[in-house]
Amino acid sequence: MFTLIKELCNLNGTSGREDRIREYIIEKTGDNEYIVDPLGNLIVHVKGKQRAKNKVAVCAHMDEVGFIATYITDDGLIKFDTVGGIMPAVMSGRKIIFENGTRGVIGSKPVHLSSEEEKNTLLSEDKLFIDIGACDKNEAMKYVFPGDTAVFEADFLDTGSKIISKALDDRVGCSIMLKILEDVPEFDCDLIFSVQEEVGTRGAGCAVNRISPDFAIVLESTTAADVAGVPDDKRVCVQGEGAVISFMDNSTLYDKELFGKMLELGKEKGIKVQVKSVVAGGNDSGIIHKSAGGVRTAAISAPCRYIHSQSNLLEKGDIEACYMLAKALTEYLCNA
Amino acid sequence: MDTIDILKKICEAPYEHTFDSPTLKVIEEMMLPLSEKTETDALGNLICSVKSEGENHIVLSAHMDKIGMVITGIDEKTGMLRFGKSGGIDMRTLAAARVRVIGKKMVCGCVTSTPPHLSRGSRNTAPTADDLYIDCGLSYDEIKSIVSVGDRAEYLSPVCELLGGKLTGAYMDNSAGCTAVIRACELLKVHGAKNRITAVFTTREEIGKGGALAAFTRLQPDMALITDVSFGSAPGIPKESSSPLSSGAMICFSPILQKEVSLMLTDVAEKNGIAYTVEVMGARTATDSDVAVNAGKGTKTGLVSVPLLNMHTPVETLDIKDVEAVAAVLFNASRGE
Repeated sequence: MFTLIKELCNLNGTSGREDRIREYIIEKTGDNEYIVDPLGNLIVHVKGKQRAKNKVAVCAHMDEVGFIATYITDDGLIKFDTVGGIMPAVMSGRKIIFENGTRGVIGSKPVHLSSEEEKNTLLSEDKLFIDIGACDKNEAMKYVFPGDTAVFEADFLDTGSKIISKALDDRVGCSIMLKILEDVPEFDCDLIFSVQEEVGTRGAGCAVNRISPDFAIVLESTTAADVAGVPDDKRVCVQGEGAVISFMDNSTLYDKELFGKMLELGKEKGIKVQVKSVVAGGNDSGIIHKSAGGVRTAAISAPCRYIHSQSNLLEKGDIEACYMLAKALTEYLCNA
Repeated sequence: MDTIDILKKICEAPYEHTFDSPTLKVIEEMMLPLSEKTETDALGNLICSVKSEGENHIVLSAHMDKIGMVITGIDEKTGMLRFGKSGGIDMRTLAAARVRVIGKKMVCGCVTSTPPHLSRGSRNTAPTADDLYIDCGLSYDEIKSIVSVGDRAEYLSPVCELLGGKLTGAYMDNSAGCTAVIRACELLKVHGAKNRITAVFTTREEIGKGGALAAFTRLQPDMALITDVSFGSAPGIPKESSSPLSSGAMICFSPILQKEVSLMLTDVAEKNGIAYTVEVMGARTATDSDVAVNAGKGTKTGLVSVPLLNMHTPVETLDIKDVEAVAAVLFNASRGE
C-alpha cells in the first residue's frame, strides 16, 4: 500500500484537474466495471466474493490543493489564486510545478529590505506571484496560460515509521480503496474516487446521486495538531493512536449508530480507533449524507500533520488502522 | 566541471561551523588542482594560495557559510526539535519547509506549521522560532541518539532549473560567490597572472563576519576583491537598491570602499565587454567587505555581486550568466597588466 501512496502522491492534480490520478487508478481496477461521470468522478463497482445485502459506497477524493494562474504581468510574473485552502504561512518560499512541467517559485521580499512590520506579515495569494524565470509576458505566456494549475513540488520522504509528502490528503484514502479492491472484498461494493473536494466538496454528491447507496464511508485525512507545546485538548487527534472517527465536524453531524459501531469494531478486531476531539474541518461526508435523498454516512480519517502544505506528515501505523477499520466497516454494512 | 555543477555541489553540501564542514571539503576539493597550497585557519576560513609569487597580492574572497537553524532542545513528548535562528532566516518561509538536521547522521524532516484553529491573531502574522519546531517523524527515543543540542539544521531545497538558464534552490547565498571565485581561479590557471593570487572562502559572514576579519587581518593583501550576492529586482523592491537578473555583475560603489577600486572594476568590465550594473550603497554593504577593508592596517577593497531573488529563503533564484560575469570581472581585475 505504501508504494501505491508514494506513486499517487507523486502525481499532480488539483481540483478539476484530476486526470492523471484517475488514469492511474483506472489502470489498477482490473476487470471491475467502472464509469467516469460528467464531473470526472470515477465510480468502480467492485465484484466481491458474495453479493451484498446493502449497497455500500466508499469514497476518497483524488484532487489536491494547489494554485491557479490568473494573470501574467508585463514582467512575466504570474498572479495566482489558491485552489483549496492554503495558509499564507506555507506558501512563500516554495517551488511549484505546473501541469505541463513548468517550474516556478513563490518568492519573498528579502528580509534585509523589509521593515519590521513586513517581516512579521505573511502575504496572501493576492499579494504574491509565481516566478517561472520568464523575462517578459510574451515568454511567460509560452509556458503558462491563465487557468493553468500548479501544485507544490516536494519529494516524498520516508522516515521509517512516518511519511512526509505533498497530497497525502487524500491520496492516502485513494490508496486504501485500491488496497480494498486488490484484496477482493467479501461483498460487492462501490468505490467513489471523487473530484473537487478541496474547492467545496463539489464532486462526491453527484456520484452518490448516481448510485444511491444505502451507506457511505468517507476516507480522509484530518488535521493532527499534536505538535510540541500544544495542550492535549487542542490536539484534535494524535498520531500513533490510530484511525480518527468523528461525531461531528463543520460539515456533518454523523450517524450516531455508525459512530458507535466503529468504536465497537475497533475493540472487537483490535484496531486502534480514536475520536476527534474538536468540532472542526469537513470532508465529502458533508455533501454525501445529504445526497441521493439521504445516505447514512461515516468518516474514517488518518491523523495528518501540516495538512494543505508541501509537507503532510502521516504515521504508517495510522494508515494501516484506517485501512483495517474501513475494511471491517464495509464488510459489516454490506451484510447488516 | 561546468559552472552549474560547481554551484550545485556547493549549494547542496551540508554546512557546519567545523573544520570538516562538507561545504568546505567540496570547495577545497575543487580548489586543490588550482592551488599551490590550501590551508584552514583558526576560524575555519579556507585559504588557497593560487599563485604564491607576483607583483601585487590580490585576494579573491567569498563567504562559504550558510544561514540555518541551531537545535536548542528536544521535546520529550513528541520528539520534535526546538531551534533558534543562525543568521537571518526568513520566518515567512519557514512553516512546513523541508529541512535536514546534521546530527550524528543526517535526518530529513520538515518544520511544523501551526494549524488554523491554534494560530494566534490573524492568519497573516508570521511565526517566530518559538512557535515552530522541526519534525523529523521520529520519536524522542529515536531522535535523542542522533541529534544533540547545538547541532545545525538547514533548508533542504535542491537546485532546480527555471526558464532561460535561471536556477533556484537554497544557499545560492553565497555558493554563487564561491563559484565565481573558483571559476576566476580556473581562468587564472589557464591564462596566467602577473599578480600573487590568494582565494579565500570565509566563515561566519552571516553571524557577524568574524571569519573575514580574522583572514584579512592576517593576509593584509594589496587589494581585496570580495564577491557576494545582492538584491535582484522584483515587485516591491526599490529599483535603486537592486539590479535585474541577467544584467551581469553588480559593481559596488560605497563610501567605505575605495573609489579607485570600484572604478577599476567598471573599467575592466567595459574593456572586456562584461555585462555589469552599478550598485550604490551607503555606509554598510552587509558583506565581508565591511570588515575586510578595516582589518589590520586596512586593505583597498572592491565588491562585485551576483543579483539574487528571494534572498535567505529556500528558493534563492539567480541567472548563472551573472555568476560567469562576476567570475570574468574577478579574473580580469586580479591577473595584472
